[in-house]
Amino acid sequence: MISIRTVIAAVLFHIVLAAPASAQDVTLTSRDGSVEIAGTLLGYDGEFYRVDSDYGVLTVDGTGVLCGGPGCPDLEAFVATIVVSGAGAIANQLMPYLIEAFAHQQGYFAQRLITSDAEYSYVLNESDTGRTAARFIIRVTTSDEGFADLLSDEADIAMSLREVLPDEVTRGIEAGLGRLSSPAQNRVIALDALVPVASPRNSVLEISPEELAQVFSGEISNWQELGGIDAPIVLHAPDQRSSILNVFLEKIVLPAGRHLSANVKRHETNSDVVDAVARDPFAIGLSTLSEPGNARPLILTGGCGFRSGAVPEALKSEDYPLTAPLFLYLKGRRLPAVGREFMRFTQSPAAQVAVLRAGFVDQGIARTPVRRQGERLANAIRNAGPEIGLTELKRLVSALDGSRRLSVTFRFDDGASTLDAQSRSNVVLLARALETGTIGANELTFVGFSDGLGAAGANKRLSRQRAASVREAVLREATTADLGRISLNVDGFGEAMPMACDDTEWGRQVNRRVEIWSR
Amino acid sequence: MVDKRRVITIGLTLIVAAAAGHFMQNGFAFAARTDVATHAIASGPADKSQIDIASALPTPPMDTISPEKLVTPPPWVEGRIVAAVSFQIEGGSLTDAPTPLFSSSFCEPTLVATAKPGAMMDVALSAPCNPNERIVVGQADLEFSDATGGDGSYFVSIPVMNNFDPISVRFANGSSVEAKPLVQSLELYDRVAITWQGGGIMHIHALENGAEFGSSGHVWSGSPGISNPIGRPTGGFLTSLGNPDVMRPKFAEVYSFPAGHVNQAGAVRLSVEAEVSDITCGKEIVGQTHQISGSGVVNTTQIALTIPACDSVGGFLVLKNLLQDMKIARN
Repeated sequence: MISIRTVIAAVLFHIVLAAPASAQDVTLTSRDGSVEIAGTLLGYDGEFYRVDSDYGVLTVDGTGVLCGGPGCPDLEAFVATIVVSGAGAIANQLMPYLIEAFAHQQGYFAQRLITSDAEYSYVLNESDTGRTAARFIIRVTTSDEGFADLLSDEADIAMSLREVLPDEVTRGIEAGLGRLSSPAQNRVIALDALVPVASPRNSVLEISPEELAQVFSGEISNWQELGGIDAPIVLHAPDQRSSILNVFLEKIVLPAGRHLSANVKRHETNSDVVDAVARDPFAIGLSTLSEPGNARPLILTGGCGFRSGAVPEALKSEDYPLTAPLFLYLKGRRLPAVGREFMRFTQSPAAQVAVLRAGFVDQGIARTPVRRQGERLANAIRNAGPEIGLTELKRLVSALDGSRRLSVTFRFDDGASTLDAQSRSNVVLLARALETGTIGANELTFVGFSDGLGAAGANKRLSRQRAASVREAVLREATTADLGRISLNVDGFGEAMPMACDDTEWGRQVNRRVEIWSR
Repeated sequence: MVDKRRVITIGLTLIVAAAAGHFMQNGFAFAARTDVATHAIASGPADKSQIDIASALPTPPMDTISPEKLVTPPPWVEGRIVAAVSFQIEGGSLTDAPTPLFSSSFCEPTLVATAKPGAMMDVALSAPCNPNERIVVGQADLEFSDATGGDGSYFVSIPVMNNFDPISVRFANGSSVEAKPLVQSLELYDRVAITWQGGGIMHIHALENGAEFGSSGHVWSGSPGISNPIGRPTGGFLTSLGNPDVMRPKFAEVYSFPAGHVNQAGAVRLSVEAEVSDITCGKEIVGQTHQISGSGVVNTTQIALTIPACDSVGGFLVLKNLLQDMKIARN
């Protein structure tokens, strides 16, 4: 018998720490017979064997070995099976469109098998031979359960409406599943947003995030205080497990030092929330852009003249403060080939069409000409004063003149210089667009802005620094971009063009940003 | 007396037709699928005589179809169809196969489609040589099965999914006739459909504008709504298609909502119920869902529903997420 060192040299592998599954005896022998690994088979993905051997868990390239023993998979009949578990909004609304579009693009014939509302699967057959190539099993659960299934090895992909929690990252590392927070293990596949809704019969059309926090903490309890009629406000929200509710608490309620009122009526799904709100003219509820139902979305106002509707461009640029991306999370272990193809597909233009059909906002890069930025310019003028003088305003206007704003915008987590999840995804999007030359511009300027706290001079320096660091991050990612064709500049205007009031944390977060202007 | 004989004749013809269909499926499956020779559509400008015949007929109530687009049965055909019927009843021997008494042009089936309110089309088949025969009627993948009458005629109103896939009637021998759809109110209607095969019973339930089960605004086959209301439509309607008495039945249920007429944003919640009967329990029902995305393209998904085990016979499998809810944008 040869030593473990020879084994390492002879076969492609990496060691994975995982609990052994049910015992199946296999012996993998290299084609020249010189290497032999015996153990229990943990899995086979069509390309690689995972074997719990005397040397630990080994992943062995199937092309280099022959399998013997009762535990060997039937290589002819092998069907790659990918289990996807998580949030109902993604599982029910988006995944059918994505998988069918993927099957169509790859030339597979897809059939959807249904047993109940809690689970369905897609069988992908090769159109010419009829051979089953892959099976996707979709479990309709919640973001929390999706992560739990991923961590307990019961799912290959988790669907989530929120980012992974620090605790889940730790448990993933302990389980040998890699770092779930690393860019290689998650993808933003579409955008959605939290939207406050009221009955179409209610006369109140707008609400500020501050008022929203007061309403849902019980401080404002009558529509009269919001400019409506004298009637008590009835609160509706999705139940505790809802990621959308958590986004609301984290971005709006908790930063204001408040807590959710005990009088909130809870519902199992967002559609239940909007249906209940639509029936009651005195109700207010929390739902999403993808699920307006029969209720009417309320426009968010900034309290000092700013307003933001949940429209696609505002979600793409995160100018709408309650944007909520849809994520897929992966284990740090290779998926079967068809699974890897699917993950690549989710970032393609064809997938964006499926995203739009499903009622979500896609990640395609949009451009807004300067003439549609009148409101932003008005904000800049309104904000001008001793600190932002006429010279700086003129510089801003001439920089804007003739340029278009790309929808990719970069925003930062609570005051720090770390990019938020959607912005990290935007780094990759912009890098790919630079590599493929699809931007269609000669010049891109990374333009930094800050909130209005502190001295204007310091803010201007800080905003320029942030713009430079975003440019660096994009360049690191865009390894194959031809930079002879496009110049990438940096500028900073500090607090000159605010998009929201600076008196709340969410407002400051909207203002701290790096925009991309193209010419 | 005549009635009894008629029933026997019909029954025998159905068996013959079914056997023929079976043979076609197994023996000439490939040929059947690629058969285009028997299409009786007048594509392009019709010849002079045909236009004359068509213009001699009463004008259809909705003047949305020009006669050139259709094949209209010549008036003399109708008289001879009656003869064919009486031949079947009075003269036909129960053991002899029907004698080909008529020339092939007489036997050639014709299909007439007429636009109706609600983005529907009236489909009238005349197939004098195909009495009491199983037919598959449909548009593209949206198909259902039924049977022609004793005179070889058949009539049905169907919701049109788009204006480019032909409406077709396929016979047991695999040949078919087609008619072009032409409905002008198509963009005013949002449509969703399910089709399935075999003995199962399935229902689409639509809850319009936040309606609850059993209230007004709950549209299903037990409360189907109407496709041609007086005045502006305010709610949707359901069309149930297919005949359980034919061999290898295929069914379709189509829900239509007049989104273009209803000037209010909102959603129609859609669910599907499959009955757990002693025929279907523990088995799989194979079918399709059809949803129209923008631009009229029908998104068809192949589905297989596993019906719960036989200890829950009498119950229903309720699926809220099989069909995407309709989202109605404000006009």
